[in-house]
Amino acid sequence: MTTIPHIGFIVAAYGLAALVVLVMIASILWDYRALSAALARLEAARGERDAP
Amino acid sequence: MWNLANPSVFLALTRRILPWLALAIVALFALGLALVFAAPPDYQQGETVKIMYVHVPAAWLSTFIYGVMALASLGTLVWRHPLADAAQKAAAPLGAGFTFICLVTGSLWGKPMWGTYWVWDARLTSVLVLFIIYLGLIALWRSIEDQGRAARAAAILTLVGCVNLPIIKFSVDWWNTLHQPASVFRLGGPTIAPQLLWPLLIMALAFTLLFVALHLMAIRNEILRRRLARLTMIAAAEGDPLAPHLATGSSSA
Repeated sequence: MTTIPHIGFIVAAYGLAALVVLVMIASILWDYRALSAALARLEAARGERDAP
Repeated sequence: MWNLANPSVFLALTRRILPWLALAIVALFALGLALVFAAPPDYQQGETVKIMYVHVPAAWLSTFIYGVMALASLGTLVWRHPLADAAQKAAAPLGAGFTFICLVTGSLWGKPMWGTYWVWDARLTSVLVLFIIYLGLIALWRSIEDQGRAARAAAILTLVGCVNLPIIKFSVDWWNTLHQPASVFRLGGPTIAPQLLWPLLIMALAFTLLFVALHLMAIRNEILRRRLARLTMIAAAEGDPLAPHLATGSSSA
C-alpha cells in the first residue's frame, strides 16, 4: 500500500477550510433565526397591545 | 442599484436568489472537488499541490472582499447609498474568515514545500496585515454605538487600508520572497498546466459564489437588525416596559 507524502498537511488544509466555512454559514443562519424570532416577538407584542 | 436601496425589494430579491445560488454552489463544489482529486500531481510538489485549490481561491477572495468593502465605503461616503454601510459591515467577518483560511492553508502548504510554516516576508506579512485590518474593522463596528458614525469611521479606515492591496499583489515582484510569483493572472497568460488550472478556476468560482451567497444573507441580517432596533425604540418611546427584553428574548427578566 502506497501512502501519499504529506497527506496530513493536505487533509488539515481541507478540514480547516471546511470548518471555517461551516462556522461562517452557521453563525449567519443562527443570527438570522435569532433576529427573526425577536422581530416576531416584538410584532406579536405590539399586535396584542394595539388590539381593542 | 438604487432600487435595491429599498430593504423590502432587497429582501424579496434575496429570497428568490438564494435557493438557486445554493444549488449552483453545491454543484460547483462537487464538480470542482471531483476534478481536484482526479487532477495529476505537480511534477515538483507532488500531491501537496492539492492545497492550492483551497489556498488560492481563499487568497483571491481575501483581496476581492476588501475591494467590495472599499466600493461599499465609497457608497457610504460619496453616494450615501442606504445599504452601502450594511454591505460593508456584513463583508468584514467574511473577509476575515477567508483571509484566515488563506493564511493557515498557506502555512500548511509552506511547511512541506519550504520547510517552515511562516516567514516574515512581504507577501505573508502583508496578508497578515490585511487580516488584522479586517479584525480592526469588526472591532470598530462593535465599539461605536451610533451606527451612522460607525459606518463613516469604518468607511474611512477601509479606504485607508486599500493601500495594502497593491502591496499584497506586487510584493512577490518588488521584494525577494519564498512565495511564488503570480502564475494565473499575469501578462503572457497562466503558467499552470490546463489539467491543474481548470479545477482551480472552478473552485475559485465556487468560493466566489459562496461569498456572494453569504454576503447577501449577512446583509439581510443587517436589515433585520435595523428593523428590530427601530421597532424596539418605538416600543420604548411608547412606554412599553418590556421593549428591551422583547428584542433580546429575555422577556422573563
